Amino acid sequence: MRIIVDLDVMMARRKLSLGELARRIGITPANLSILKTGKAKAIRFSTLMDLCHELNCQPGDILKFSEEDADARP
Amino acid sequence: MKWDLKKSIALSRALIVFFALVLLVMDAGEIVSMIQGDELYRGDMMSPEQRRAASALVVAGSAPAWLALWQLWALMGDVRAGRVFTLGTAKRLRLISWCCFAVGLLCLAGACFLHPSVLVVAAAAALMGLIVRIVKNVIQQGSAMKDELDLTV
Repeated sequence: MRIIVDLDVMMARRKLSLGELARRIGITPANLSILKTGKAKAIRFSTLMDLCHELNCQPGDILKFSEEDADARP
Repeated sequence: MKWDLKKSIALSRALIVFFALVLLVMDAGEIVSMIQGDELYRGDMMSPEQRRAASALVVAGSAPAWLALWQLWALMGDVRAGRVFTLGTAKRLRLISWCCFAVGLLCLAGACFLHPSVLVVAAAAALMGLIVRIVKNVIQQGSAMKDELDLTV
């Protein structure tokens, strides 16, 4: 079981690059990349709030629950 | 003089060097005594066979002690570089604890076959091994927590 952070769709809809989104929410592109590639172990409410604010979406639009094992990802 | 982490690490390293020198002198003394059959410092408490066995015990016990000292030296290098809560540190501490247990076992054998008073050294070494092992468990847990913290965005 794991939580998948799916930023790609929302970023594409808002036409935002990784660097630009990182700048807007005030985190480093490296940290946003960790989040985007599913390597993050946790996300702060403040980061989630900033992401939702900048992408104009709900947490459920970027966070998905999967029954698949966390170690099974490529 | 203001005391800080850098000076504390330097003191720890100096103590490691001091213990390495003590160990070196002990090893050299025992090896010379084994070769020359020097009987001066143990008097008549032991038979020549027991004296040779005691020297062999000291030399054998110094092998894990050297390994532990080397691991401590490397550990202080890691601490100086800021790598404290890592699996590498836990691994080093685990090795040090096994070294202490090895010395404890050797001294236990010494207590059985040479002199019962060596049991005190065996108990001290085993207790030290246990303490280091518990510190290792703490560091291991700290490493997992640090990983989680580092990967919290």
